[in-house]
Amino acid sequence: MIERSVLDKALKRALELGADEAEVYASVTHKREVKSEGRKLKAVSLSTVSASVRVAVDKRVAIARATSLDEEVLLGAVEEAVSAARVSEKDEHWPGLPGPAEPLHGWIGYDEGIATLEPGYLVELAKYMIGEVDSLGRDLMVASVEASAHSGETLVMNTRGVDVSERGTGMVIMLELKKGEGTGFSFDVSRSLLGDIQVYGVIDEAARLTLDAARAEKLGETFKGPVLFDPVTVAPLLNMILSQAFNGELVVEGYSPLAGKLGQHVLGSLTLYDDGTIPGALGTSLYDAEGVPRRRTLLAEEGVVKGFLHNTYTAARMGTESTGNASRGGRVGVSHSNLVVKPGRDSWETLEEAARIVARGFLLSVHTVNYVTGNFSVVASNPYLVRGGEEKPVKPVTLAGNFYELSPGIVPGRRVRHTYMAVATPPLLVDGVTVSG
Amino acid sequence: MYEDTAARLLERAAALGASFAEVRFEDAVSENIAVTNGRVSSLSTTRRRGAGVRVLYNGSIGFSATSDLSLGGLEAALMEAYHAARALGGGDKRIADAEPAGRLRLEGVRRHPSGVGWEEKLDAAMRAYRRAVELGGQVVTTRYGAYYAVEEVYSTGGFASSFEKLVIGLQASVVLRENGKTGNGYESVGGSGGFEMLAGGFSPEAVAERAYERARLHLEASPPPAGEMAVITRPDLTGVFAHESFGHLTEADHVYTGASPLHGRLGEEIASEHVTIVDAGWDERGGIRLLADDEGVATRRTVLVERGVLRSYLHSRETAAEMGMETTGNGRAQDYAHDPIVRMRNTFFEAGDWGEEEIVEETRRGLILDMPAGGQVQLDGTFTFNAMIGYLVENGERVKPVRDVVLAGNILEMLRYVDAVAGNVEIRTSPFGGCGKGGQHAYVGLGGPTLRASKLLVGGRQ
Repeated sequence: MIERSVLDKALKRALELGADEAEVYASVTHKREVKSEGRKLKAVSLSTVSASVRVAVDKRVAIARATSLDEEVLLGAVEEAVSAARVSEKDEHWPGLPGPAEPLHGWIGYDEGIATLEPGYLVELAKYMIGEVDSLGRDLMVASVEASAHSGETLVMNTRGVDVSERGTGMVIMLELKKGEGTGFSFDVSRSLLGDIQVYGVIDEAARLTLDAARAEKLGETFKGPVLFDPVTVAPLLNMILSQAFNGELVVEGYSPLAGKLGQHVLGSLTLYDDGTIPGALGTSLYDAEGVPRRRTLLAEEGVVKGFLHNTYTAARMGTESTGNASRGGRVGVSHSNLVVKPGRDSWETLEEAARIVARGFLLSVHTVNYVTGNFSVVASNPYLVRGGEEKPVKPVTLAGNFYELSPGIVPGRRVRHTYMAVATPPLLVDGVTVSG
Repeated sequence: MYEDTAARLLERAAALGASFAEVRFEDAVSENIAVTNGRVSSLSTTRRRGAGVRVLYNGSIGFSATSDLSLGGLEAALMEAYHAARALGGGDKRIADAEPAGRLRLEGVRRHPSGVGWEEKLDAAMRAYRRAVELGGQVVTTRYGAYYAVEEVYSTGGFASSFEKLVIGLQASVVLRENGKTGNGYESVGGSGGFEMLAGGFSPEAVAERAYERARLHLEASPPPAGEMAVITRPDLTGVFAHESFGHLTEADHVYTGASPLHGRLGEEIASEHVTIVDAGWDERGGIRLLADDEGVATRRTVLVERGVLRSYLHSRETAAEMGMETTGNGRAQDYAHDPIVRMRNTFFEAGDWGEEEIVEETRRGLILDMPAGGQVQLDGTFTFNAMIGYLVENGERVKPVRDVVLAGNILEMLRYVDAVAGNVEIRTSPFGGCGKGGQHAYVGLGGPTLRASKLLVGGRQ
């Protein structure tokens, strides 16, 4: 448990040193992980502590962080933050820290069963996955396997009376296989309930992708056409483009292409929202990183921009309220909680009939996507060419386009899947993508 | 500084029956300032202090870490690592012998960032901002960043090393919007020097000017054609090519398991004779200066490919033991809370004897590209790297600006297509970017000269 009295002292010290306002964010995490190089396992057991102190002195803001909650270290961070703030520039827009508010839902993603899991269980799970791959008898090489469990506690306190804490847990399994020139990768994540992890689903998916890739042929052509994206495959692309485009900070500062587009129709028929209150979802919590309650925020309805993601500062800049989307690294930023794409009516099979390429696996270079313009140029790791109702594996292909130009031709399918970037999406059929391979 | 504590901890590990134990102390500071559209959007400092403990017990490796540096805190971490190793059951892991780097300091640092006030650091970011706006930048973010640390590594057999780390730098990003078109450009500079480095070509003004020029070109550009064609990479981009297309698959953790397509190919000709690729702890021409790796081993200059022939893999003490080789000083960890894994340092193509203009003039149809946006590689040898700007080249002339394109190939064939290499080697680093692997970030250097690959797959749109 995080000791509140030390954090309270830190806040008082900040005021004594001349800060107008102060906030402490503290987190403690425990992680047990079994990972491998090939079939050789390695075990890691980590406990990390971090504290982040944010102060405002006459609308000048600074942050100091430390990896300890010892009083001496924390008070040192307070002094560092106050002295840095004094030399910063005044920000006339600074609205002050948020005040206290009650949470809007009651689901706590904490499973005592995960928090108390012994490393031996993860070792057995990893060995079991390797054994299951062997028992498929298809000459599949295990490139790497991973099983991990983590738990943590976060606490936010500020001089306006916010004093909230919550706990959370999660589990991850991952498998990467190789055969000849083919590779396949699959994973699953869960907040709670060991039974929720799809061990066989992960093994089967990685094996299928690998075996198909091993017999894949070169596409040998370039065309513009419809590409069907598996939910897991497209989630990082949506994360890179939409999560950034609706980020209130990037909107306020003019980086987002959606700045000034509130009420305009720019995203085809897509309906999109952020929801930090979905029980069981990866991005669900009671509060954001400033202690503001999580909620549901409509971002786009039938392609029309309806709202943006905000923390307290960006909300004030746009004359609205925080949407409970404050995030925390070296600075206080904005990020989605669970980004949800509303499903459509078409089944996977219907969309597949309309597609020329099906993109499974992952998108190489997806982290390079240019959210400022919406341009993407990536490589699909495990693509399939659809011909005569059959999917035929092909070698990796490039996929390129501009998300906004393509959005009128995006058809969401049925069945939303929650994926690891806290993006929940159905499969998406996207027409007009340039494919080359 | 932690010698006595470490000695007691290692004794305790031996008493538990560990055949090898290691404790690595890190005391690090990261500084970050960002100025967005004239306001200070970030001013933060992070002090990170802790230790990581690695144990080899009964042929299995366990790792744990703590920020409690009392003997009691360290012993608790040791027990966690020991229990983790025991949970694995018996194994056949070993740790290769290595010489400690000893006590090393970064020489020639005049104004270490720890001794420079916030005012001056903020002023550097503000100067870059003002210059970018003066030129016409409409949306501008400029950054100052620094990371510095002192690390100590102690392990079984009296192994002791202590060394400094430092990387400092500036970045500018500029967005231009005109007539419904958007262009954005960035520039990052950095190195393992003091504040005095941020002058000349690394001055705030120079950084802002290059970011603006790139944004201007990006604005005017359109998507390139798609398909296979000749690609000329400028030095910045060549570095990403070296890192992604090749470097990762020489990391021996992928090699000893047989997963890398470079497994079992030492001594084989895998690239054209124009290709020499090096991974070094430091180089006079730039990049990051890494005196030792995070296992406390001095960094060697490792020639990976020499005139087309695969000469070496990159090793940590763990992978060296797996392959019966020596460590190359590539065992690196993100911070004290992560275990060392095989990572690159400064990876670059060596110089050839062409001139950049000569290469362009000798190209009938292709692209010349710059401003890297990152890349990736997977174990089948498929690599990607992205460029944000460049030109379509026809009959030896730059005819039309192009932008936002992925380049892809397969490692076992693409390096054979490198047919012209210039002499203009540049090696770059910065505290803003880096490389990600296995959930760990690492500061790296990238570089090389302008070079041409006669055939790469281009993810264009026409």
